[in-house]
Amino acid sequence: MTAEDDDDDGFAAFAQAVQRRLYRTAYLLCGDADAARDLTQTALAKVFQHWRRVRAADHPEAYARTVLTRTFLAERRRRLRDLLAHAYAGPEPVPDQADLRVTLLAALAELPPRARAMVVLRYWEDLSVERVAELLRCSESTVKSQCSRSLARLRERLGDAHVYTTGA
Amino acid sequence: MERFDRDGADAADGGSALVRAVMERTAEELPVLPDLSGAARAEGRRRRNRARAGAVAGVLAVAVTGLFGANALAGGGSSAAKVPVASAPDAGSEAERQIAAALQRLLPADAGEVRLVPNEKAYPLNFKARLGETPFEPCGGPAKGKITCNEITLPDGRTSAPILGMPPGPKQDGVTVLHRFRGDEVEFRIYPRCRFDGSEPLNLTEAVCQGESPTVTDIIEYVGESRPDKKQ
Repeated sequence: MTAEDDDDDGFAAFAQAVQRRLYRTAYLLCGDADAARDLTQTALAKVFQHWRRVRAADHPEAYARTVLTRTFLAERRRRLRDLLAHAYAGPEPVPDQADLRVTLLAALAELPPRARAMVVLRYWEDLSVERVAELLRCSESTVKSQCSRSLARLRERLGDAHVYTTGA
Repeated sequence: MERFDRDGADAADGGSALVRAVMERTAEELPVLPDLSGAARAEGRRRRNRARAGAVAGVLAVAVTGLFGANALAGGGSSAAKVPVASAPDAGSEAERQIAAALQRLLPADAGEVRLVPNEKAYPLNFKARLGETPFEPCGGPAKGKITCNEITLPDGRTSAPILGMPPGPKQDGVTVLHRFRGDEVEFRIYPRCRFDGSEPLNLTEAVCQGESPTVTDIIEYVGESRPDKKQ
């Protein structure tokens, strides 16, 4: 077995372990399953590109998440393709239970990409304000204020929806 | 069964519980993802190969031949005198020559002649714009050697962008600072090797100040917008 094969094997196990989580985060960022799959694959490819360094890091999955988020933001900036935001523009009716998924994605798409990333990282990935600020290279106060505004907008769009989840 | 609604516990935390719950539900409904590791490895190898090629073809190295001090860039802005570019006819692409010309216009007149060069280390002060798509996570990866990744508080109280720095050492005659702009699109480097004229090398803060100056951000902006491989 060559060193390269060994690298590859380690990466495959890592990718299989984290790809589902990355995919779900990517979906909340992109709002589209195909785009999320592409974003996930691109992020994993970038991780593989530097795999020897990444696997020596303390938290390779956190590194992959950082790559995913920054790739998403770079793509949005580069191609100026925020088409989803336009596609979903306009008032939405108060959702019923079946519409919640669409309503959430529409509401997220209305946010600027950076604000969307903050919301997903803060409330989906459950990262601290400090970590989000570090990842997005901005101040903690920016994260707090943007998340607060975005959360209010999302809450408004979700209206009076009641969500039932299994829990303790 | 746990319920989140406007009148419940969710109201107390500004709605985050509801949003979290809907996010969870939304993500759960995604179809099963096929194994992406093989495709990611193939794409990663292509990226590696491109990066290796880009180390030669994708880097615009510009050397400034003039000798100027630590504060020369700080207030330069775009009001600098326009100096004709004297790059060799066959040096770089047309776009690279245009960028060099823009650098020349943006730099202070006493910065000297801007030239496209194959080996920036032969010159006392260099700007290097990395034009490839190689992802670079300034503070996201493990430390490499003695290279540090920090934000520095500038004299005016601002915090610098993340920078990579290597303090001067016995085998290094200056400070290397990597300044990033707009995520992973453009890299900008300054090698303030200032022993050439007998002056002291810049310290890290001085070098970062150079990288944060309006002149440099103008240059970075221009290079980012004008780079030859920019996708439209």
